Parts: sequence; C-alpha cells; structure tokens
Amino acid sequence: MSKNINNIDDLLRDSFEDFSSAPSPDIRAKLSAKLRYFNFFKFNPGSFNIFYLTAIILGTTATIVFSIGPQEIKDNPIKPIETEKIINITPEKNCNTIEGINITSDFSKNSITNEISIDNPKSIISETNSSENSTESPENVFLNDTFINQTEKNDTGNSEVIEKNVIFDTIINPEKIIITDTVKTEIHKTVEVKNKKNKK
Amino acid sequence: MALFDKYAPMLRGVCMRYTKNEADADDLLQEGFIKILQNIRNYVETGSFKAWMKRIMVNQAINFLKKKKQHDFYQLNENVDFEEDDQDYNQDKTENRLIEANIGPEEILKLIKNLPEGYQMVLNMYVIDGFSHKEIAEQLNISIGTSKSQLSRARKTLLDKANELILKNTNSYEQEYK
Repeated sequence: MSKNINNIDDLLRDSFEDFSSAPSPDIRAKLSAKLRYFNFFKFNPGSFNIFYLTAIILGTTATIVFSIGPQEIKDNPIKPIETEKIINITPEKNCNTIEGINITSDFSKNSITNEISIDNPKSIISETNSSENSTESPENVFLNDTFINQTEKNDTGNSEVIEKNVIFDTIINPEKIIITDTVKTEIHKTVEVKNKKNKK
Repeated sequence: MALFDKYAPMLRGVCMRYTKNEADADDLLQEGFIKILQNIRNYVETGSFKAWMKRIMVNQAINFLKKKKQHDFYQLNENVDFEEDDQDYNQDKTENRLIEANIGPEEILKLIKNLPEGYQMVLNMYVIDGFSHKEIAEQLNISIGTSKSQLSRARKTLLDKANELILKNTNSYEQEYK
C-alpha cells in the first residue's frame, strides 16, 4: 500500500524537482522598482534614503531660517516713531479742561508706550462751570475710560472731582502720564469733536 | 539582480505550483524574492542555498494565499476513514497508466491547479516540498487529521483527473488511427 502511494509521490517529486518557469519580462523591472522603494525606506549608511532626505530638508530649513530671519530684521529694523501732538480739549458740560498735553509714542522699546507730558500740571484741570478758575492739586487728577474727570456740584455749590469707571487705579503723576491705546482713542475722538466744533 | 536572473525560473516554478494563475505567480515571485534579499544575511551556509530559497518561497506562498483567503479545506477535522484497499488498487492502476502515458510536468501541473485550493496546498507541501503533517497543520492552522485527509483526497482526485486525461488521450489516439 505504502509503496503504491510513494510511487505516485515519487512521480510528482520527479516531475517538479527541477521544474522551472521563465518569468515574464517586466517582472525584473517591477522587482527593481520595488527594491529601490524598500531600500529608500530602510536605513543604510551606504545609500541615500528617507533618513538622509529628512536630515537634508531639516538642515536646509534651519539654515534658511537662521540666515534669512536676522537679515530681514537688519533690513527692516523697527524704527522708533515719535509723534508729538498737542491736544487741546475743549471742555464739554461738566467736564474738566485739559490743555497742553503732549503725547509721545515711543516704539523703540519692546512695548509701545504713549506718554503724555503736561506743560503746566496745575492748569490742566479747571472747572468750567465755576465762575473762578480753580486749580486742582495733582493728587486729584484721574483718568477714566472717557478720559474725562467729570465734576459735579454738590449741594453746597462746591465742585468736586468724581471718579467714574477708573481704568487706572493709581494716581497719575501729572508730569508723566502713561495711557493705554483705549485712552488714546478716546483722546482722538475728543480732538475730532473739538475740530468739528471749531469748523462750525 | 544577478541572483534573480539565476534563480527566478526555479522559484517561479514553485510559485506556479501554489497559485492558480500566472499573474498571482508573478506577484508571489516578487514578494518572495524581496523576502529572500531581506533575509539573505540570515542564511547559514550549512544547507543548500536553493533549498533555503525554496523554503522561503513556499512560506511566502502560504502567507500569500492566506492573505487572499483562497484556501478552503473541505470537510475540516475529517479523519481518513474510507476504504483504502480498493482505492490503492485503483491508484495503482491509474499510476501505471500515468507513467505509461508519459505525462509531462506541465500537464501534471495543470491537473494540480485544477484541484481545490486545500488539496493543492497540502499535496504540494507534503509530497513535493517535504513538509510533515505536523508542520502543515501548524502552518495552515488545521489539525493533523485534516492534513492527512486532505492529502488522501488530493491524491485520489489527482489520479481520477489523470485517468480522465489518459482516457481522453487514448480515445483521440485511437480515433486518429481508425
């Protein structure tokens, strides 16, 4: 029994022991392409691959960033812009008069600083509603969101400075007032209102 | 690529035995050859290099067919319980005819390709590539009994088909002389 089965097996073995079949012509080219692909993604110090490509790209990018970046800064340095404006704010009703304010914007520092210098601190705030010009002490000068210190008369008729919506909770040194952009915007608005009134 | 030029025909012969068509054989040849090149440093020079490459190609073929889910084993876990004596008698007669008919490898290959996938794989692995039933069972995730039954049925089916081919050839030969 075993002999018969083995004979069949031997027949098959003999038939296929040296059996070969010629591969189709394009197989070689396809295999070459596949091998190139596999070699490209496999690290091999002796051949160019994805790792070297990545290193080259990263190196080039870093070189560009470090060489061109500072050059642009050299070409276009941030120049300090100094603008000086004298703003005369016409007091509206129940508003204090602020005159002779010099605004200086300094861009040369890391942060933009607007400075307002006051020519004569003692004459900045005056009571328009009162018959006499009263001089407020610097300790009473506040900046609020509308940059107006409103005054109201109390029952006795004396004016007093009332603080409303105070942005800065510190007393401003009248010789050097630091304001924010919001305040600056409000000043511009006030100036525009004044200009319109002057035109009229 | 000199390695490819030298051994590709032999390896493609292996691929042809395990696949149903030439396109699959070419795909398998490419995958197998890449595997050989990737593992060539692991080759220990104690055995035959050809046998080592064939083994890699056969393993690749098994994985290839597993991926394609082409192999389907009929009557899984079935034990060999049919009458072997009668079958052996018929096999013996058919085998003698087969040898007398002088059927070449290409025709036998056609017969093997016409076998069901499971039969084809087990027959190739056991008879031609020298795997044991235990190894086949492990590789194909089947039981040893299934491997044996698949092999027996593969032999029987192959001989039946060979008999048909011989009869067909004999009839056509007789008709020519009449």
